[in-house]
Amino acid sequence: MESAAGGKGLELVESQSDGVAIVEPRGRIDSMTAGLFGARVAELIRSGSHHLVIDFAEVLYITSAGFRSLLIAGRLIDEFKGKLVLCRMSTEIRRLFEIGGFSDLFEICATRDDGVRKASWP
Amino acid sequence: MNPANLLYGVSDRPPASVCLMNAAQHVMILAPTLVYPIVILRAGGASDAAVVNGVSLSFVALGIGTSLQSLRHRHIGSGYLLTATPTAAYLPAGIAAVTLGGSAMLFGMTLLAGLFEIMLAQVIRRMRAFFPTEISGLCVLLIGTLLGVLGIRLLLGLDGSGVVRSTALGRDFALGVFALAVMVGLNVWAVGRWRMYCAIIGMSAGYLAAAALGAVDAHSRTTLRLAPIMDLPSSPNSLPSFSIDLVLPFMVGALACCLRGMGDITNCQKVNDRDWVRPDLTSIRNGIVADGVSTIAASFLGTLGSSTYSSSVGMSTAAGVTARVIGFWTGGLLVVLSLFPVVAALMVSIPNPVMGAAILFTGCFVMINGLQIITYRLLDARRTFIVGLALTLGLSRDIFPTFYGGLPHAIQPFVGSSLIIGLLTALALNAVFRIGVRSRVTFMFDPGVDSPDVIRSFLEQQGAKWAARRDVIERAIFGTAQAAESIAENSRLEGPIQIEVSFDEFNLDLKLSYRGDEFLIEDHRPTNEEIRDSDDGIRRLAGFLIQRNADRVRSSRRGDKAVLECHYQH
Repeated sequence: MESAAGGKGLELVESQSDGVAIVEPRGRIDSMTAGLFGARVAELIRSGSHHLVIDFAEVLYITSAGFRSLLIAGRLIDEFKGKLVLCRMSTEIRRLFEIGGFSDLFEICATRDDGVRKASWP
Repeated sequence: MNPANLLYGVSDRPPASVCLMNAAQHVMILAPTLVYPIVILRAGGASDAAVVNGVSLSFVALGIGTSLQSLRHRHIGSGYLLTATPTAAYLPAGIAAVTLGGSAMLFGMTLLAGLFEIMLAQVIRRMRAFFPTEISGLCVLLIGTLLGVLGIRLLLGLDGSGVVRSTALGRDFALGVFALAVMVGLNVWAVGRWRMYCAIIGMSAGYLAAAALGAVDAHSRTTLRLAPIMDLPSSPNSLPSFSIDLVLPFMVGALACCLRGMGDITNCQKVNDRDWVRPDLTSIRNGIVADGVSTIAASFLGTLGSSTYSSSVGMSTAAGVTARVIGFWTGGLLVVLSLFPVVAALMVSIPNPVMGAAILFTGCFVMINGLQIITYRLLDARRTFIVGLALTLGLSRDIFPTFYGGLPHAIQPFVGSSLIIGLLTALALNAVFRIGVRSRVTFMFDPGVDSPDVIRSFLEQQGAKWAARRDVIERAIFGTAQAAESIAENSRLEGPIQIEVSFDEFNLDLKLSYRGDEFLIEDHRPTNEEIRDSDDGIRRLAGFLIQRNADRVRSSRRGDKAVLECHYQH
């Protein structure tokens, strides 16, 4: 079951698979949209979704504000001893993670299935 | 860096056994093109023995040409495994030459053509703007389709106008499909040596099947039986003669060889470099020089001029072996084989369907490389028309041969093949469409909700006009959007931001000018805690990302404006 929310520049599509919450941002994660993105992810974690996959397949680009919201989400999920996995990045998004020094901070998978599997592990 | 599909890359040194077997494969797939010197020799009234001698002499010329092509000398050799082959580009002119003045005329005019090709090589670098990457890709694609059409023609026993000439169509078709199936099957499902030697195995299997079915023609069998096992080939002793009437046809042939060489060498560069971005014009120039010298060698040996052999690039790719040292092995093997007329006779006797299968097989790899080179760049309407119209016109040569054959005699040299028509069309359109494309453009925008879309749209459109690399334009889009976001939030911006973009084939430069505080570039990444918790964490990360995203960044103040400059190597 999918649900969607969002505003100009970013839409968030949410679903569940094997007890793992999946968030699929569609558009750009920048200073205009990072607030919405970060708030929704934090809300999901606080409401009990401690195993979370963020699917980057439809992300056009991510700026410094977007990276900050990911770092905050990562810290929050650590507090709940959960697991955050990122998946399906384009070459360009993967490059941005690398130049920003974020590749080693997050577990990144090539496919959504791999992401769900990794996120569901304790 | 070597692409993953190569077992041995261009600079590797495979074991001698691998070199020898791969050299044998490269020699074997030359078989279909040996028909060109044979046609010339027969047009000059040569006997069967003289034809076999002529083919042996062609081996010597091709051996010299292939070895020169593998060199990485400052002035000669592309530095790639790329065999030389007798070329159809000189066929009509060559027949006219032997008819008009015998072997002396062929000698003189082929010599001139070789010299002209060397001259053409010298102007390639200065004419760089007229040979953009997508035209190189088109050239490779046209060569691939040319091979495909030739392969189908031989496999089905069709003549130039598509009429069936084979007297045993079903048998020949089955033979061709069998040889093709062996090559494709080994290439797709086999590993190691079976994959590496798929072409030679497929051709040998096809030949044996042809012999068993009686498909090797009687004339070839007789020539094979009468050919001496070992004999020194004798070269003609005539002095060169020249004809002013034949200058243009031979010059057009040389131009066609030059263009084909550009496509083949570009293909070699791409096949051998995982990070390939553009044709290396020095390697192309030196490769064309090697091709010209090879044609000069052919003229002294009384045979037809040569060009680079596209099938050899396809076969190297299929085998996963592109080591240039194999070029020297192939050259050496060709010279040694020239001492064995029986080998020349054996190669001439390979049935057409088997030859067709080999050419079709190698053509597939060439075609795909051409498509990849074309789509590597952003293409706007101008470039879409250049590629689309040139490709369609080129292909029409093979679809409507009667129409082109009926055109006036004076323009026949320019419509001789799909490659010539396609490339001349592309080069002419490219020259026309260069009018009105500025290398420097400026636009203004107010940062806001829509600015990322405005920036993307502007840079993508401009990138397509310039046929810029997709990956570089993506970097520029991110850099501009990230900078605009950070300036709007942290630099006390007053008014719009002006963006100036300039481009040439090697550089893309962006200059953002605005009224506000100077942009702060960060050399060191802020810590995760600083990014998360400090007030200027996002700004500092933006400064760091912009610095890492570009190849060079500079922030300064000019008059009342702050200026941020980002340079991207293209």
